Amino acid sequence: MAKYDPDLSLLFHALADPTRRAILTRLGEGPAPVTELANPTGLRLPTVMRHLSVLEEAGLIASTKDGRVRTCAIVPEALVPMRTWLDEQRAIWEARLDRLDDYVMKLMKERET
Amino acid sequence: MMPDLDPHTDLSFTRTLAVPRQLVWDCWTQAVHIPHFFVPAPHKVSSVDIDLRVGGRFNTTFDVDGTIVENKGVYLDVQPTEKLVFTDAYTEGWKPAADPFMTAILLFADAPDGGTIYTAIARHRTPAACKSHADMGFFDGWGTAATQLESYAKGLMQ
Repeated sequence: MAKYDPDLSLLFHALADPTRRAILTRLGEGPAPVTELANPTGLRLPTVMRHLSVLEEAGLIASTKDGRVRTCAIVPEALVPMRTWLDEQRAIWEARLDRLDDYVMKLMKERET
Repeated sequence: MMPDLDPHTDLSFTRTLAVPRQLVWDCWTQAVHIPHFFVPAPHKVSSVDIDLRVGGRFNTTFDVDGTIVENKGVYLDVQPTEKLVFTDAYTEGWKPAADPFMTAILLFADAPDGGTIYTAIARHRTPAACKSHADMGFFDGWGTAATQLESYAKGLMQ
């Protein structure tokens, strides 16, 4: 797996959970304290903290502590390796389908002649 | 019918071609056609072994700069000229693969004037599961390969 960033697995794991995705969506609007993130989930604070630590480990969010308030913020560039990977897959398929298009058109012409 | 796609791991492509559905179907399901489009030049598909039925094998061998790369998979759904689904999650006999990576779904529909609209959907497991041919650098330089191919295709048309 030398080709891919090893953190990619962490990234996908972090995104594989709807609660964590909801937290990211909220953070997309701007930084928020942990309590504010916890409220809409209806989950207990320790559970939310666990979700946040998964996100932080994957590099998707960063948190800072000011007194007793921990504030989380999204790290948008964390998604770049994932997009790169998906772009590679896209390029593979685009090229394959381009070749198929050319090939099938050639076959069609041969049939018609 | 379109499945729900996960934007993080799934890709969908739709093409319209001025050829009958049967021909596009044949290209995807007959061993004689696969080598003409499956991998980018200068790599080659050195063998294709197809048993076109649900659970039947779809095995290909690539020659990547002299290195042989084997890909084994099975068909999950075979609806002639309508739908073809294959995966590398299993090999023939429903033997689970050690390192599954993707499911490909091909949907074929009629376009006006006897053409074909086809959709290719690639659903991936996480890239952590990406197969050995990626490790071997098989996918490096795809952009170059696509460009080479374009000029090749243009040459054919002259």
